[in-house]
Amino acid sequence: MSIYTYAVIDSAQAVEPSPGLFGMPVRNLPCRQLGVVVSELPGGDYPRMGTDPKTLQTAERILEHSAVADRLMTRFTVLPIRFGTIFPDRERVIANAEEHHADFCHNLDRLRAKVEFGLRVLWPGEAIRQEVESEVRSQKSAVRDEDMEIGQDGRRTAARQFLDAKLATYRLDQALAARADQAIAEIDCAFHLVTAEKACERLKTPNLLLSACYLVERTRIGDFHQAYERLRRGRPDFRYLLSGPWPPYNFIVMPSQTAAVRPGPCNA
Amino acid sequence: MNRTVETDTPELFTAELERAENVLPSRIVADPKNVEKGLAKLVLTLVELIRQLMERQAIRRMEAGSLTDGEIERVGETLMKLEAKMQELKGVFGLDDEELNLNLGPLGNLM
Repeated sequence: MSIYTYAVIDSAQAVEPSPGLFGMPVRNLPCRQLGVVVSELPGGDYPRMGTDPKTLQTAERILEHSAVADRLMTRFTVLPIRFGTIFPDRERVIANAEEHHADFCHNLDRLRAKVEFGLRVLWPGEAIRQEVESEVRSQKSAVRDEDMEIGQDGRRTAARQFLDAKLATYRLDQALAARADQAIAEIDCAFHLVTAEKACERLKTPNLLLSACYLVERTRIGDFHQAYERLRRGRPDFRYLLSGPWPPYNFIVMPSQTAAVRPGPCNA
Repeated sequence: MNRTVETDTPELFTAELERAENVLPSRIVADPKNVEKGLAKLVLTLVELIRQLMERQAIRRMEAGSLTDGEIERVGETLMKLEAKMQELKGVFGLDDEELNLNLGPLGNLM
């Protein structure tokens, strides 16, 4: 019978009985001092059930998966496993845990007593674009003679106009990115002292200035909330969505990944 | 430890996050009935990536002032023709810009 996996925890002891996916009981498969929390998948054999999360991806299943990770988080340090990760049998789960044992230990040490918060920030993208566009245009006017060089025959050719237009768009994008970096630096400043690590993306859409995840020590959750309130008061023109605490989904670093970064300028 | 999700403007975030999720197609659909379009999409995505890299390089050099007038003419004409040809090919295979998008990791999206 296929085995569905939820998380790696820093304990090889049995976990409290609780329901997992499809209500199946959750248990801990020990691997030296660690454990992999799993449940059996009813009626589906690997690979027919497959590793494709889409075969399982319903709101109900996702909430069941998340509930297991949440319950574990109250008692253990948790490395949540990606939704939809299925193994053909227990032996394969344990072999995989053995193979990555050192990485799991390293991550558990790094993430001990820490939780994740998510922050999304919206800014008025269109208004800022227009503002930046007018700034860039006024700068361009000041150097118009240099910018509007003409060909030897005294005309701006189509090729030249094409590249000029591209250059104007490039300058606008650069100016917009600089404006976004400036705003993100303010947000970074608010959280710099109360977060251990962060991962962020800039301008995923024109309005979505920042999608960030912050790793916060449990003892500093109150400080993090205070920093968030100060940020909201300081920049009331932005809109915020804060969620957490979550298990540290975005801060697990396996050797082939570089998803998490230490605090510093946003590298998105 | 209670989890909270807090915002003053849930409807704005719902709309924006849906938009963010739809920026990129989730995966390439390998449909045996439409293999020609699938292959064209793959090839044109790569061509578009290279075209945009060339374009950015040209713009940076233009901005740095390291292109002569003659070079600007030649590069501009080449890139202009390449862009027109790409538009034509996208039309032939019924592809739009978003379908040729790529996530370039820390560099952001191709388009």
